[in-house]
Amino acid sequence: MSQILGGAIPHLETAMRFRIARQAALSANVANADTPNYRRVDLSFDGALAKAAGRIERTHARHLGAGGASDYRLERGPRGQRPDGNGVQLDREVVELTRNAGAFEKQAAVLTRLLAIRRLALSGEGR
Amino acid sequence: MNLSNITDIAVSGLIAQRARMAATASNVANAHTTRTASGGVYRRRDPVFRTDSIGGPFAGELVRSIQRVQVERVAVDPRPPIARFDPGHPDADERGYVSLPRVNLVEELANMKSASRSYESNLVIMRKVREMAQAAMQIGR
Repeated sequence: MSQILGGAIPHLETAMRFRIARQAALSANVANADTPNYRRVDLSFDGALAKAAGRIERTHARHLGAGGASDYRLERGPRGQRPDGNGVQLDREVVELTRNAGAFEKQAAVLTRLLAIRRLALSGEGR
Repeated sequence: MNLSNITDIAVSGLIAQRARMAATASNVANAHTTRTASGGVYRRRDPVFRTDSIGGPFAGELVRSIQRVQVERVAVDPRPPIARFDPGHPDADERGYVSLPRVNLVEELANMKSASRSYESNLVIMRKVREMAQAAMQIGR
């Protein structure tokens, strides 16, 4: 790791981007809880972190292919058993939403601490 | 995909569910309406939902798969009205039958419950987005 504590920061960023994209997918499921023939969507993390870890040439977060949405695998649920063919179970979606938002907040908290530690190291006040 | 996209999706859900509640309220309120502006007996209304893409034409497959909801149209019940024998009613026909809307109160109330539950779930999303935004705002403090 070339930087003190800095190595974890891009990984956390990747994870938080994923959490936001997944939150959008789960929100779409809730919004479409009564749309006929809607099949639920979900995102899996699948290799997004590994890709980010292996990418050393990334110089800007907005460069193509860097932490972009294409790193996530889209999963579609089956057709529902309800008469309208909708496959969304509202309570399950809300639980997943809450869990996902919690993960995002945890990652944001860790990132905040990492930056604080780095600032402390830079200022030299720890001596 | 960012936090404001999520808010857009949740807002679309709130609007759709509110339309459904409005239709239900209209059905219950007009359960005995025999005269309408278009003539004839009231027919129950039911909004039809469909998915709506949030990305533009160049959006990737992932963004196109995450969709908000939209009220496509308000369907009018095609079933014939209920004929009830009531010769004293001003809208009774020559045989004494009145056409009444085919509105089932139990069905409407169940619909209302379902719509309000969905509405609340969309509100949960809004709350979660706010919490996530607050957590993101703490970064760098």
